[in-house]
Amino acid sequence: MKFETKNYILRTLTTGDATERYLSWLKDDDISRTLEVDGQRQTLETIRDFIVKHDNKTSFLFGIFTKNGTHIGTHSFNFYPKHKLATVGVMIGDKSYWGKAVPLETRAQILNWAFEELDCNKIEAGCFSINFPAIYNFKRQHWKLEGVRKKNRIIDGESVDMVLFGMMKKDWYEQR
Amino acid sequence: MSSDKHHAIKFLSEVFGVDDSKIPEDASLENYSKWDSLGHMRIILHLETVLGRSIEIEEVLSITDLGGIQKLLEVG
Repeated sequence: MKFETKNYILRTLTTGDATERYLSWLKDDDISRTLEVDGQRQTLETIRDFIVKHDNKTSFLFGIFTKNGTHIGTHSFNFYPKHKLATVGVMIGDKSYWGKAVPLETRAQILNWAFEELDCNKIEAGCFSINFPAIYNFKRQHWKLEGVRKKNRIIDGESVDMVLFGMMKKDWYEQR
Repeated sequence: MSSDKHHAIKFLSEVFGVDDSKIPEDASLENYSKWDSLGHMRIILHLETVLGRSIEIEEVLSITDLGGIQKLLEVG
């Protein structure tokens, strides 16, 4: 599976994409502290295991690549056909691409695919309350707030909330 | 300059290191180029510094334009 946006390429990852570069992102506390993963326990093998768990039928792990092939992040995507529902999650590992609207541009492509090709009615996503850039991206892309799970995790010794967002097909079609 | 947004405009000018006059009165995350995802983080962290407290998630979610910032500055 491969998509192309104005500035980036999205393609499903293979075990060959489990690189030291990818591993370094997970071991970077600035990145992993807002992910559902213990970054310090990750190895190239755990990354490969994670990649192959995605069957590319209902579970996808897309790499975000620049047009010259540099891997800069990932989108996870899980599809529940019976419910016409999917969930998404993004990680921008290359910090030089933070603040460059990569999630907005690339997630828009994934939303188009999910609603048009997979016929999803709704996409769900979430982030921790300390992940201000992620909250910005959800607000900027007009996701609807669906709820807050208070004190969902303890990160750096402090309780943080999980913020839940949803995007309905009709809302996406109206805004794009 | 609209007086009801004066403090928010001053606040944004401090965050982004620009003159007050460079901040549009309708500045929001939708239309002000400096207000990107990292700019958003700087806004919230500076708000916490100015207010001297952590900002609750409900407040974070209200920070989308000058009005949202102004309200938080007034509430304190």
